[in-house]
Amino acid sequence: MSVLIVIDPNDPDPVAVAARLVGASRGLAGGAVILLVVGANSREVAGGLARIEGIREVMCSHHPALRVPPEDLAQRVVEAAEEEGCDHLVASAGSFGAELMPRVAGMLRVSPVTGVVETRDAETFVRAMHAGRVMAVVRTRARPVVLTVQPWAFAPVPVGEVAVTVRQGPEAPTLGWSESAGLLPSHDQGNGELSTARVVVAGGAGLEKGGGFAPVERLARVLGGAVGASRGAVDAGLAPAERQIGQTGRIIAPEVYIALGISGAVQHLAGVKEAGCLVSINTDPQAPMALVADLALTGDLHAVVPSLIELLTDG
Amino acid sequence: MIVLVAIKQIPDPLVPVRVKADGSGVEIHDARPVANPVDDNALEAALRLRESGAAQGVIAVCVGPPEWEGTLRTALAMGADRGIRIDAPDALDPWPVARLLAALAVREGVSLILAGRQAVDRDQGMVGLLVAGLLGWGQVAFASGLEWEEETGRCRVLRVVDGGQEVVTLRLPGVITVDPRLNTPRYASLPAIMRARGKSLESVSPGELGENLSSDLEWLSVFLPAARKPGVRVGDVAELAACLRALGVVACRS
Repeated sequence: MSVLIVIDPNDPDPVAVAARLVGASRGLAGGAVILLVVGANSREVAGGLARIEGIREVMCSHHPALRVPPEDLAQRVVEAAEEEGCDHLVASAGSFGAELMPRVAGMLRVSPVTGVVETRDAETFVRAMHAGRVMAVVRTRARPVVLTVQPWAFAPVPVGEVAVTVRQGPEAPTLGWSESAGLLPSHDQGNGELSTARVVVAGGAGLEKGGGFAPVERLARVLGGAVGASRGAVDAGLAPAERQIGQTGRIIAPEVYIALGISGAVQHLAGVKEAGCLVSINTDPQAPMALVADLALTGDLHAVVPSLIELLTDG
Repeated sequence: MIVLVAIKQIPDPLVPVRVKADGSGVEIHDARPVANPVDDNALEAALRLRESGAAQGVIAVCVGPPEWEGTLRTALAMGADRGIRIDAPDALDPWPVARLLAALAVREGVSLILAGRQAVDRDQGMVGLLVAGLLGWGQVAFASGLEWEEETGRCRVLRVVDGGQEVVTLRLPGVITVDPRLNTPRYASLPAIMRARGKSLESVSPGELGENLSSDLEWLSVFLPAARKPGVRVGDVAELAACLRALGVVACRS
């Protein structure tokens, strides 16, 4: 009985994500937890991962690429699961696991369970559907159990001083199906990491009229937070696609989410409904976001943001 | 190449869903059936591949009951060459859907499968990639750009990932799941809709594909997420700032 957790070595904070995935795995069978990390940089990431409490070991598998093709990665995951006799295979529900785990499940001829936010027992899970408006309890008879897990839904286990063994596992194959040419250069540097930021400031399509995303970026920056966007804002070219929050974008749970001029369509709310405190700043007091927010201010964000920054600045 | 586009019919996602009193499932009243929106992006991508000469045929496929044929006809009106319905009950799990699609793709000699990244009713996001794993084909998920490179015989795909936008090349046969921002799906013209009414749709049983409908999943119950506590309307910026400070949100001078 053991759990294999696949870690994305290119995550901006792989240790933080892994600590939450290990936390989620505590609700599964009480077996050993093995972290698997694959890629040209797997050794560099493994040292940090090895300090996560409650794991048996970290297994590294080399692959010549930094961004390992999903076909090669899935093959290695399937082999590792067989070598270690794992009955649970887990990865984050972000784009990494969402791409990887259905393929792994298909290779193993089982159905995965995706987007898990609660584990009831080793085979029963809670997940959101219909843009987060409904939660479903689903039980799987599949073995192994293949899961993607929302990291924010689970408390992290501590990261200590003592490191477990980092083991060099077999190399991942190079099957030659797909090949990454890397990420497009982004003009989005310094806008923070959505998955780990305590505070996220997001803007809607309405900012197009007011001259763009500068107020969103400025507020996020002075609050030490990250920039998010509604789908409308991304479609209007105000923010890059990877900043989109919602049903078909990122699903996040920051402590504070400040929505600037976001009306709050159901599809957008699906991405932030677990945020600690939802703040809406909108000229329309009847906007869905204003109605659902914990703190709602009716006003023009272009007037509100500068004075808010002033009032939140000490000295 | 022949392209297979997997299309799911769902209730209009803008209509509110309710949980049944006994918690056994959801009910959606008065919702007109529509194609899962991002599946239309997949179909549009397939049609563009055919129009550019890269693809020779586009097959639209549904896995569902006879009531889903309207969605297939719309796909024909948009420009699909054939419409095939694999006969199955509504709300079949992704795992049997994927097995049926994989079997059909092999039977039809398909070399590219396009599907939406997720159906926005159950939000499971797995059918296309399950098929890729089953068939051992290449895959790219969350495509926001797609072109065929004649000289290399590969698809060049732009995909949205958490860290940015990634450029990937894919050898075929393969599966690409698409993001809503890949393209803007065309509307079917009225004459095309009229013509599509007269076209015959093909129907295939799971047995003819050597498959069954068995699933690993058992949907035990559904419930509403915990409601958020009622919020507060703050009167002015100063009040908002005070509330945020109480949450430990402060600005650093920059």
